[in-house]
Amino acid sequence: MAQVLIRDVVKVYPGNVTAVKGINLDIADGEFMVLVGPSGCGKSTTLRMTAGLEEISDGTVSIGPRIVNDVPPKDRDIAMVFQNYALYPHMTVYKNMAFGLKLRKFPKPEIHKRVTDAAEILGITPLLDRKPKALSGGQRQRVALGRAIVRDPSVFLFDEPLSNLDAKLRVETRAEIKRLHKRLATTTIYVTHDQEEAMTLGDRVCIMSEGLIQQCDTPLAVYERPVNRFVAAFLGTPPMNFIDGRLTPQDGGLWFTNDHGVKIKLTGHHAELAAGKAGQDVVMGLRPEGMFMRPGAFAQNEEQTLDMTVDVIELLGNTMDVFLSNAGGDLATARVKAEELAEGTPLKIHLDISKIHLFEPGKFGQNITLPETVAAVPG
Amino acid sequence: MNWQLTRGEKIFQTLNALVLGVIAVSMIYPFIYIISISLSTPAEASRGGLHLFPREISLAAYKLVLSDSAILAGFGNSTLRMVLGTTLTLVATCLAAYPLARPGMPHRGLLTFLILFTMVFTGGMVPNYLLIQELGLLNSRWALILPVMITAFNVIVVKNFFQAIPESLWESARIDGASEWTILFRIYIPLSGPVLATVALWTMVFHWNSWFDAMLYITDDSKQVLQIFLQRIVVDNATEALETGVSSDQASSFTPETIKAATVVVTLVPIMLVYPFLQRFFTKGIMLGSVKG
Ligand SMILES: Nc1ncnc2c1ncn2[C@@H]1O[C@H](COP(=O)(O)OP(=O)(O)OP(=O)(O)O)[C@@H](O)[C@H]1O
Ligand SMILES: [Mg+2]
Repeated sequence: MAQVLIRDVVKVYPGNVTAVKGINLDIADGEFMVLVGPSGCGKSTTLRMTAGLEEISDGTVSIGPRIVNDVPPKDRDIAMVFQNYALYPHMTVYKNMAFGLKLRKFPKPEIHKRVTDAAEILGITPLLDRKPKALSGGQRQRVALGRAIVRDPSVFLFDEPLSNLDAKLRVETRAEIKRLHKRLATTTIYVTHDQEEAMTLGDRVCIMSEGLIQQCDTPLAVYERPVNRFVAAFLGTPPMNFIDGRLTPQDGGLWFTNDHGVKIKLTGHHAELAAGKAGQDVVMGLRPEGMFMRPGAFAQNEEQTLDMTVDVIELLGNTMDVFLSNAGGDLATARVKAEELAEGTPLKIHLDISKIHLFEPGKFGQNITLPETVAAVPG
Repeated sequence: MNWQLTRGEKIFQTLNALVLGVIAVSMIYPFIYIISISLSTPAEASRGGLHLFPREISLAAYKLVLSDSAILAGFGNSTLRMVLGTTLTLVATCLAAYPLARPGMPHRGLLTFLILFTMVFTGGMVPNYLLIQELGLLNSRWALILPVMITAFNVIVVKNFFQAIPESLWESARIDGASEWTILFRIYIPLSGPVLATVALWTMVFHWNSWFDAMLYITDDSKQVLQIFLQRIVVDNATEALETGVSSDQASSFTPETIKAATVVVTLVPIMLVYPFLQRFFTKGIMLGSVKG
């Protein structure tokens, strides 16, 4: 059991590739921290520096009470599960799991107990005498998990452990990992590029991009209160809609407008927080599930609607995704309850105004409508 | 499935089989011929025509060859050379290949280049002889083992095989607490059966068949290898040496031809027996199941 502290960590690869540009992360004892982000954002690099598989160019990583920058991987009290399992192909499942214990000179009975216990937990007892090649992908990944848990380390490190499994098995194994974490309560750092995995597994989710942490918070917080446009765009399926425009004061109120006829009255905390920015260009973000085809409980105000035309409809069962556009080329997707609807129909879209966000322009534009309670991005 | 061959394909297949068949016979026949002659009585051996299987079998030539102390010593020396040489080659090659296969090894490119360089530019016979002389290895069995212990080609072949082993296996082993030695001997080498068996086979065949270096460096017959004796008997017709002290009664049970043939067989068979023993290492797909993707 240990906390992991990552302080101003930088990684420069040979050839002057700066993969990680100074990140700070406090992972509490027993916490399940997920690092998520697009390919090449430095997730694996961060994890591998924690594991000791990559040198740390600058900053410090500590596990428990000590700084481990110069501690070799085997002495960091960690276990790692790799995307490609990395089982020893010439050893049986039992020996694969026992290898690390044997090298650490555990007594034979203790090794036997730990291996059989772990096999029991993971349901792989019947496979103990098999070699990895006689296992399915899901079974191999369980063995890889088993190899990690027999050591009873202070920290588990996972690098995309599920991405080689098919969709169904991925969901099952994900649940398994979650149960395992509940049971063992070992500090875990889990890397994935799959936002669904990130949201379902993490106590906290850390969204990275281009070597920096964009936001690190609980799954609900990062989803509902994204600190910038990148985080907002990264999380959610279908992704958040963005419409370019500006803040226009009119009739004693503040409006979001653009040249394509979009005109939405800002109310509540949006109006308050954006008040100082009147006249500025902003980007409005709306979640597809915050858009409705008719006024309802969330969306009643006629001044908070968008006039759009239905382009394409994708039926998903009891909901459907409606792809909309207006004459000016603004695009949006609404996720609504399934109903009969013809393509080409003009619609008045009602917005759940409490769920909109206003961002400064640019890919990483700050969210200017966050309630005070949300801390600014570290770093 | 329905394999309908076109006319052209049929002709090609027939020609192909014919050509390959002729090549196969031309390789196998001399072999059968030698075995047949070695087992023949003098009368049978001097008969003309095809020799496939002797009608009258005589083991006299073998008795003579296998009771000759020089040939037996040669047998022992060749075996020693092969076993020791191959063992040392395998160990040294792995030890050289492993660091060259590690991405973290400093100056890896330069070192690999230096090794490759020796593949293209070699010293030649006279400098080699002088080197062996200066090292005081003349007339020593080490002169047959040390100079060929490590060859660039083997190192590169094994290095490439090692490099194909997924990096995550090494990383996993590091986290498990394995030292570089443990990783090499408990993970890399066990996984390299096919390539090590190949290198072992090459090296064994090389050592068993080598003749020239023994001729250059070894002067003492008690250290001499089998191929030298074979050369003396087959090429220099030194069959009389074997026949000295043999009664005229016995002498009528073999001819120089059967003796030569028996000697050839005696030198051939051991190295042929090696292959089936190594074969089980040539199984494919040993990495199967380790990693995916
Ligand atoms: N050994 C290396 N040498 C040079 N550059 C590297 C090396 N390893 C990674 N990089 C670079 O560092 C950056 C971050 O890589 P990293 O593997 O951490 O990404 P990632 O977030 O794990 O991506 P993915 O989701 O594709 O695994 C990338 O731009 C990558 O090209
Ligand atoms: Mg990665």
